[in-house]
Amino acid sequence: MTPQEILSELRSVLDDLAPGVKLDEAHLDTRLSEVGYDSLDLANFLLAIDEKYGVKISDDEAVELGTLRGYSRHIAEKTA
Amino acid sequence: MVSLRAIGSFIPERLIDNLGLKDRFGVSEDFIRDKIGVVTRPVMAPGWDTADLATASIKALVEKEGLDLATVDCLVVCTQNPEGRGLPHTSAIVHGRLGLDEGCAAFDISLGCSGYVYGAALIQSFMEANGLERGLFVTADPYSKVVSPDDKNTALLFGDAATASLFDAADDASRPAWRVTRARLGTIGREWAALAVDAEGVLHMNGREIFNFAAVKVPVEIEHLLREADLTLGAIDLVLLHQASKYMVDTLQKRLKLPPHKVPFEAGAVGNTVSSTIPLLLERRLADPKLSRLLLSGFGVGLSIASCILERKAA
Repeated sequence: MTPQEILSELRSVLDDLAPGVKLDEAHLDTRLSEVGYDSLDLANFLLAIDEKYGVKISDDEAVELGTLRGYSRHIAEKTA
Repeated sequence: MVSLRAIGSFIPERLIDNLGLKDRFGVSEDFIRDKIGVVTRPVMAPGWDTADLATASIKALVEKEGLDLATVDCLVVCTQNPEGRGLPHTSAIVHGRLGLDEGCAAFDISLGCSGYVYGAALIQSFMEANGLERGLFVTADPYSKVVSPDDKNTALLFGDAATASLFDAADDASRPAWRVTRARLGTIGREWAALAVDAEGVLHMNGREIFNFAAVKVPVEIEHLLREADLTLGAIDLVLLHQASKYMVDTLQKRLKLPPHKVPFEAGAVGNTVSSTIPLLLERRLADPKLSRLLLSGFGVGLSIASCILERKAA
């Protein structure tokens, strides 16, 4: 899958997990915590990535990646 | 046959208002109400200890049920924060304070959030195996003894409470009678460090590890339990989960693909009371004639997980 396809899927995952948070195109390079996702949403998001793509992301990696685009690229690299 | 007949509970009057702590921990009111789900938390009175809570819950049960304590021949206390330093066992102290009979078996079991399911299965089997007639199973695990008020991960979550469940072998149609008909009990000991008290006596929790454990393991264990019992979720009236947090219960409800009303969260005023969360949910439901089959699941410290089917016996 391309990073763009993964990004699209991750947006759906986040919409399901936290429908109250508005995520749009302008937020793709914004840290998810700054978009409005809290620590519980992010823990659930990281679990969803593990279950969907088989990619485990450590707490340190999550801090480093941070944005939706960052997660998408990372998953694309790990699953290439 | 031994059955669960009634539950009494004790919730301390002293309440901590979590909303008053939101600025200190940098969280919003929505996060407290909708994610943690705990708005107030009871804390036992200064000078109180675990045996006080346990004894108060038994007194509540006695008042409610008119129970004659002289007839009790089994007392089990579930706690990991025992009275004093844990020697002697809390059940012995409670036994002494209530003046129970010298022929009454009394022992503690060391389990956290899975403790009610383990304990219910245990006391039912233990009483039947040993011909005992009337048993009390108490949950009393005051985390206020180990939670740091400065720890964002735990300080807004836990509340103190105790419950006492009456199990008896009497042929009494005047009270509801429920039995554990199937249980699945397990442990992932290699991950124990995710929730533990350190050398200084302070609780530490890796929230992400605990979340992953519960979100993944609980639905799988429930599925296995139902298969073993030759049942489906459609045959279960309610799923009563350990009230870890609102977000945890909501997540599991979605993963189980059940409507919210079948997986209640009711810990908003009392918090996560560890092994007491499930009996607090059960207490107000035992006499509900519309309910005949419940599924209970407790999970947490250990990492331990226990699920069971609880069925009402036909009158």
